[in-house]
Amino acid sequence: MRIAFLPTGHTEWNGLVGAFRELFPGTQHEFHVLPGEMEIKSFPDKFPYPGFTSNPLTQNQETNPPEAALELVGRAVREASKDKHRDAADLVIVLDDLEPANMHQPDIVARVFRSAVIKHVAGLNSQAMREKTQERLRERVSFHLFVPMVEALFFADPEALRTAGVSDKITEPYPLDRDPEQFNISDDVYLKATEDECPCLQALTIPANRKKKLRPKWLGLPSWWQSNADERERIVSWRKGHPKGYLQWLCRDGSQKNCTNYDETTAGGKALSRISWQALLAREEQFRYLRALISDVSDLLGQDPSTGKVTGTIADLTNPQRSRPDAVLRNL
Amino acid sequence: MSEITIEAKDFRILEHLKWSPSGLCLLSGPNGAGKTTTLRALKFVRTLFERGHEAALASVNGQFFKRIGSAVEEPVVFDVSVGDIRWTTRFPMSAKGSKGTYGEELRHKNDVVLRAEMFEEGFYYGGERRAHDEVRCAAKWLWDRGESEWMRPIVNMLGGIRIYDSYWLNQVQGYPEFDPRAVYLAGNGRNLWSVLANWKQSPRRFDNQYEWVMSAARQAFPALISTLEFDRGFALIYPPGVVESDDGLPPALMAEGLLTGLLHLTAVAGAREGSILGFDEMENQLHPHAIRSIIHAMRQQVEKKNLTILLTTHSPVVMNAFRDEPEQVYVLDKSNPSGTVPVAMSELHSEEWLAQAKLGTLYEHLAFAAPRLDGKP
Repeated sequence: MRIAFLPTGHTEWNGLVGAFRELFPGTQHEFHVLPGEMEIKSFPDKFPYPGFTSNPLTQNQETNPPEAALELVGRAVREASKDKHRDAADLVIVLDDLEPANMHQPDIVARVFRSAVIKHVAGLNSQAMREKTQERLRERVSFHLFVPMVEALFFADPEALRTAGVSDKITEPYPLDRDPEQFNISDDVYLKATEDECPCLQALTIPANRKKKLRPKWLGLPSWWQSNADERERIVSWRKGHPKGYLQWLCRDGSQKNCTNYDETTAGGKALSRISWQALLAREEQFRYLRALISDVSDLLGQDPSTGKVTGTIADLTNPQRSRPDAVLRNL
Repeated sequence: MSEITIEAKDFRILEHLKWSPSGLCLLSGPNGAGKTTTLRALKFVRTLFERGHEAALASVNGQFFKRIGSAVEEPVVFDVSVGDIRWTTRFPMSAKGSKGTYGEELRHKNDVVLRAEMFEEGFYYGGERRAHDEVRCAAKWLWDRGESEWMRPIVNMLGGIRIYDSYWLNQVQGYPEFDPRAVYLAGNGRNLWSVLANWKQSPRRFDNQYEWVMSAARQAFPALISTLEFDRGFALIYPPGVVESDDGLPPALMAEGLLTGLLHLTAVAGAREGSILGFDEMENQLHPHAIRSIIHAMRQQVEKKNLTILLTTHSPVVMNAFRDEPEQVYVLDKSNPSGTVPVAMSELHSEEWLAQAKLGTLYEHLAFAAPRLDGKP
């Protein structure tokens, strides 16, 4: 069995294969990640594939899906198609985030991706090819979500936080009774952090519009955006629910880029590849979306994870076991 | 028309080219794969037949003729087949240049009609040994005798090869001397205005080629060109809406993309029935709309005159114009088990896989015709 991950983040690109090899040990199946090394060399500034969930999705996009979603569908279906000198992957898993901007509307995120799938199929040049592709998609392609993003996993595993670069002194696990997929931090020092605590940003002598793009995630938006109470509340709420921002804050270091030593490619990828599945899956009523992903792979391989049969609550939205008469993917 | 095959061995970067193109074809590959060299191989055999080996070598800048890394004793070989006629030439070359007289063989229906061995000062025809002509190759000598009508298909094929690999735009922008006899576009395009002026003057004789060029140019560059006028061979272009005769633009003030488009269209319009035309990186200077329009116009002429048009490209826009006919897209991909290039896209990839994305997207994402990124040759 060949399983391909098509993630939208560096951490996932670097860590997913190692993590799933741990969870599903064995030599009879192979995990790999897209895009491949060669493609990355040629797209150093556009890697990995961009996600489509960073900004709030609208109902209009349910009929007019964003280009990023279409690109993900196109890449996934190519991997799931048989070519002359390469077999089709048995499963291609597209992975995006249910980021704070869309946390309140997972249904719309799913419908937008579903619409991208339908649009891709509709664009094919013959009925026979449309039917064949639709079948491929239903059998071999899934769409899953990290909620709100992959760094949430680290907060259930103190060792992963340490690997990511968090000091031993502050590697408290996320409280057992709170779901990291409902990430909500209440660290006042973090929430009140200002630009004064980011010397690298202060040192920049560039126009404000460019500076905005270079602001570390952990800082949130600049003070001049916070002109009214509603806006302030929105920004605070966004920062509370942003595990990567908080992780960067925990790893802050004024001498580094973004004033943090958290590097998602190296430290993040390593932390993910070594994640303690035991620690994560022990939280039976939590990580519902993650369980849907694991259940999908387990179902395809016909093999339980190394942690034992998948139990606990599974997110209905991406659950591959749910009956869907009008499915366009394995789980959508 | 009989199937045409061009073969070249150890010619520059090409280890073994073997290609039977027909219709509108796209040739793709990374930089340095041999796209331009493929067109030059065609240019070489045409010039060799029509004007002899010295002109042929000069036409492809004769240096570095032999592939680096090829066996010292192996000649550079060109082989042209049209139906049951086959013309083979062998050039004994070193890295520095020619080592001696080239060999030649002409076959008709498996019979060897004439043969010249490499390094020998003569050739055999009809069992007799004859001295080499100073300029002409033996096959041309035979054709010029007027006794070998069976050669007509290959003579027509060779004479119909036109390669446009580098236009001299600065000459086209100036005022090159008017040539009242020019009826075909030269390889460098410098006689563009003469050709168009002559066509315009005699629409019946030239099958309304001028009007076809203008009509296609208006489609490709709707805001730039309405009419062309000539004053003793000097061109003036009139954009749409210009009514004053003094407001015509001289070539120096025309957009370079428009000039390139006119050159492409004139080359295609002037091609005679069954010709082979090659355009190296036809997309240069052209907007995507103009690219698509010109390719559409080329398809019309391919149908009408049974042309073979070879386009080399790095442009996703050009590739996307071939989405529905991957069998017309060829890749200079050395992974082909037979060891020959180019390989038809439909042999490299399945219909199902190709259907999932535009060719330009696949090319951009290195899914075919990708450069080696590991630094190995």
